[in-house]
Amino acid sequence: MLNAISYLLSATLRMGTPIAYTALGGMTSERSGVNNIGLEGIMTAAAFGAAVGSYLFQNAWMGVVFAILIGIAISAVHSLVCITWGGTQAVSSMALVLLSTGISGVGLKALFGRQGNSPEVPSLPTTTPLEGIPVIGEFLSQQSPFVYLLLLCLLITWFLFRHTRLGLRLITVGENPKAAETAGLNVHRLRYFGVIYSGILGGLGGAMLSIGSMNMFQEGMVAGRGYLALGAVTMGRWNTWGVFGSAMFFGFFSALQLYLQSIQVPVPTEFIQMIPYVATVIVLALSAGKSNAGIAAGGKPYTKFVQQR
Amino acid sequence: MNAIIQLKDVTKRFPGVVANDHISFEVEKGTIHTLAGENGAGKSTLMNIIYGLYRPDEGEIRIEGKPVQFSSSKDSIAHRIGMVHQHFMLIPKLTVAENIVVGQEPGSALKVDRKGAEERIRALSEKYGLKIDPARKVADLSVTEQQRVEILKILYREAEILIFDEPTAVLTPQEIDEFCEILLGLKAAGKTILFISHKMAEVMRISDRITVIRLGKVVGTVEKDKTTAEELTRMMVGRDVSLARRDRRQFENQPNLLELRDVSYSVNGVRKLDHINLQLRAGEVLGVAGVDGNGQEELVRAIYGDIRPDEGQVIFKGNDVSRTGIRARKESGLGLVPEDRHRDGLVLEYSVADNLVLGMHNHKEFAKGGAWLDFKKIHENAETMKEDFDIRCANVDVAAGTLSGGNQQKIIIAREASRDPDVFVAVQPTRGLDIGAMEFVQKTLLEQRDKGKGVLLLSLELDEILSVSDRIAVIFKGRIVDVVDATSVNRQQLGLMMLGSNAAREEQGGVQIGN
Amino acid sequence: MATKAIGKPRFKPDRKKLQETGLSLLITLISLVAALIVGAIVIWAFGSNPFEAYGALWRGAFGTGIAFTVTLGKAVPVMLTGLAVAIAFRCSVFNIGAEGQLLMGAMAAALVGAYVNLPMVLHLPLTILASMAAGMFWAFFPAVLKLRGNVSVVISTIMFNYIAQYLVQYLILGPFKGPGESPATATIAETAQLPDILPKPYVLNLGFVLALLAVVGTYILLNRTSMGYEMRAVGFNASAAHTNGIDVGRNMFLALLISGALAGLGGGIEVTGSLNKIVNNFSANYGFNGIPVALMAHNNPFAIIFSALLIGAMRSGSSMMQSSAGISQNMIDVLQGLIIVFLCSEHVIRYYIKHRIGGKKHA
Repeated sequence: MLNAISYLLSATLRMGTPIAYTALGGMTSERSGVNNIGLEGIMTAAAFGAAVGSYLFQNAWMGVVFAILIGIAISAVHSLVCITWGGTQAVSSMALVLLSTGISGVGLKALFGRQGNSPEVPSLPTTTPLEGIPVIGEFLSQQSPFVYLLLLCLLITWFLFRHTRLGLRLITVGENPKAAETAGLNVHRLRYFGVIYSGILGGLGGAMLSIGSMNMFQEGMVAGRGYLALGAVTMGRWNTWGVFGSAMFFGFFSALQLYLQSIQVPVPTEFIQMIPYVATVIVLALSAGKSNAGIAAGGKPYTKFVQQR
Repeated sequence: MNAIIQLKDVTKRFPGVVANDHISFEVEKGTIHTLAGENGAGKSTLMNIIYGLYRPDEGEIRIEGKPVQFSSSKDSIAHRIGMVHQHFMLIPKLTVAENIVVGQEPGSALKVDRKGAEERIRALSEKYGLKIDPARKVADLSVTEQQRVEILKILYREAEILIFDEPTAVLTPQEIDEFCEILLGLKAAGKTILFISHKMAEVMRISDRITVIRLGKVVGTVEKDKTTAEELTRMMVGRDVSLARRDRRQFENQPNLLELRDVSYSVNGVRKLDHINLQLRAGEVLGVAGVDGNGQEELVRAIYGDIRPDEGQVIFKGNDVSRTGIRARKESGLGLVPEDRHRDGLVLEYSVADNLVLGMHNHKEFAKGGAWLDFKKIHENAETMKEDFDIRCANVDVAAGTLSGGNQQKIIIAREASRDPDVFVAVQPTRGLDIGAMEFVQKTLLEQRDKGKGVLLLSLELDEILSVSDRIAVIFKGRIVDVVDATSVNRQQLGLMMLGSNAAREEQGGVQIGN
Repeated sequence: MATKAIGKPRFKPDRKKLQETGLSLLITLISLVAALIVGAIVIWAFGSNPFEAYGALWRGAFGTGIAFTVTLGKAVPVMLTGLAVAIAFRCSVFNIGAEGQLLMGAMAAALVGAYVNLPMVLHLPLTILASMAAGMFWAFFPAVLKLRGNVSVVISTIMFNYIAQYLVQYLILGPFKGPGESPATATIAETAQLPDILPKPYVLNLGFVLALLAVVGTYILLNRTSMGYEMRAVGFNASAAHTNGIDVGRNMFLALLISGALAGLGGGIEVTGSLNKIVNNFSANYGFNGIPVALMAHNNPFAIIFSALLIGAMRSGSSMMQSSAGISQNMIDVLQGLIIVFLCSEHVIRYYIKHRIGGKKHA
């Protein structure tokens, strides 16, 4: 019994972490008024990038750096298309997904000369310095550093919206860009920040997949987690703790899926694998109709009030 | 003379219109200067220019004698100009303090000093008598409280020049009273106020000087003490009575076509319609007059079936239609000219011909079996309408979006008239139209009346209400104040009723307020 | 900017319409070329020769008569998913679930094709209809969730893609696993197989004709019926449609169902025409490819024929590119992503084109 709980807890953290990173990023982007459905793509490219970085330098932390840079690059494209050029956000997001899947496939072949997955690369599966802590030290040290980095990101994101000047301004441009502009704020620049922040966090989420919980990149390894993260943003009502909790909730379903597979319940694996997706649909159906706590000006491109003449 | 703002030949053109045509006037420091003019005269455009949201095509603006060129509101804030917009620029989710300080937050970048902000706002609100709790969420505030937040927002930015764009449009008479006191208090504190309005009572009450603009041009600038409300009205409208009153019709024995019985409707606990009783008879034009935002929108939506009243019934030709939808009501003989023609009236991407059958596209005459569009018939219909309603377009296949506003409105009027409805509802049908199109629209409404239809006209323009209606209902705070014979009232009396004088008298136990 | 046309002297309408069509075409071409150029840089950056790669892609797609018929065949499923995305789009619904709907359609066709015994005149149509019904069924849930719970179609259709993927995988490997080692269903009966329309060695079956019929059908539905009139009105201006008595929710609901049926048909044709059974993971992004197909065609059914051929050509040429130039087949995903990015920037391209044309007029 204790074993099961420990397994589930550990697996929930492992499965929930990449979703939570991405969801916190997605939340920031959406709160600034730009939907980023392309997080799935950012995670894919970052997962690949992390493996490449780790492989090239034989150092997993360089993989993290690579993942972040890739997250920034892809979200910058999304920002340019959606914020500056006023393109449709959902469509541009789908471009990111195709682009990222494609690039990682092409890269896999070009760099490693193989298909399907990369060779094994240095990874960050455990946090050994924590071993010394009494009683729970063993459990803590078995978690990837990504888990602890996530807690840091969680605090930063919470602090950003709770206390900082930037956070208040991000909320303002997301809710009412016109009001923001009349208050002298630069709507576009702030939205760029929101989207790129989501790129950084999405990048970390992707990196966790390839060099956190595994030690290689596999095609299709993101498996919709970017979209689950978006579901978590909606379910968490754009609130930092709510979004984190929802992401972990989805992580729990993934963990449950793993657990059920490991104890070989007499249900076909495919149905167990469906659990996170079915759960998302059910949860959204139950929660979406109730409240209209969405972002007031979310998803709409903003053309400056001031005429360009 | 101590002019704080000087405008010289400020001109702003939009495609097809000159919104501001060589506007020149001066505002003296420490005074309340009113900019008066009818809807669409170009007041808001001018204010947005002064505030730096629009750039003028020509002309010069001087602030304290120095010529300025604003490229964004940031510049105007730096020149200590603040503006309270007609539509509040607030974020309901945030607190009063957060709304006020955003963009100029106290504290460090890492930590906004919310406590300090609240204290400063408390101090400000005490200094200017603007009562508000800075820690409350804006979502929980009333309209007047929101307005106070907007004012505090610009006072917080230490504005010396305060621009108010039609601030009283959303207020009740009591609230207007209170608001006037606030403005006078601000003036006493040495601020300069630029006030935009077209309501004579408040203009005469608080202004020092008044500049009247009409059709984008300055008619004149006058001292308050040397003018009268009548003279100002004449300057604003530009003629004594614009359109001669039409002959009234006898309609005593006509049946009720549309009847609202005790209709009430609330949004988030706010009563938008409060036990409305109204009868529209065959062969009459019933005008509905009122200050913007007193329930007109909900009244229309309840009539055409967009909202279901919480209480009461909508009776259409003797049948209770309260629970039916838009399509059912339109099919049973309701024509609607909606307020916003671009948003609700037309599909701009569709051709003129297609727009002329919008809502009738599945009628047997335009679709075989209701399913297959009959392009020949749709075309023939469009050609007939084009002739009959003088819709000016190269041909009926061009997109409706390429036509001028007047011709777009004609498409809607033609379409709704061609349904041969029994009740014709028109909401602000002449807004933004030139004189020619305006007269055409009003003529069509009267033709409908002469055919024995019931016409319901909602308008914010008193002249229009007076010249077209047979009877006039006045709406205030979601209630019908009174329904009067159009020949028995004049503009002033009507204006008084629109400010709720009847209702106010009842509420306040005989004490008249608001004038 | 939209109001600019008002009040100006108007061009002859035909010329204007022609100009607009020409402009759309030009934007698509510019996007395509720009995508190819950036794609070339990507190929070069990964250490290969872009000319060689594109050359191989071209040869693979159009090099021989047989290759050309393969291209035509590969265009069929993306033509249908393209139509599916487009018809929903015209009613302002973004259906990213074509992938799952196609899978379900294919599954239904595989089952009806293999387990029902009927003469061909009945069996083949029944199989095809079953695939459409299954696709529609799979779109039904997101449609209801949108109508009743206001759940984002984008997220729900994506979730249903994954659910479909696992469900189909279960059915293929579990209860309906065919004979032999391979992870596939049983081969469908010959009475349920679409006949070839070209003699061997060319490979083209009746599915291509069905896809063209679907194009015509979609066009007729959208442009010739009052239902299509309503859907387009909702897509252009939902508020005006609503005020004039058109039920917006119902139209979006129907659009999504029809979209699902089209995607399902794509799966059905793939099974009855070329695969004759379902192999695990047979649909390599057919559903997602529908998005660039629809976008490149500006959601115009007839233009979809050509954009589908383009994507079909990329798909059929990609294996040649992989084998002879050493570039992963995934390169075509990159190209498609780039095409969408540039198409999404339509406003900017349009602006520059107008600017230049405007400048010339003044000079």
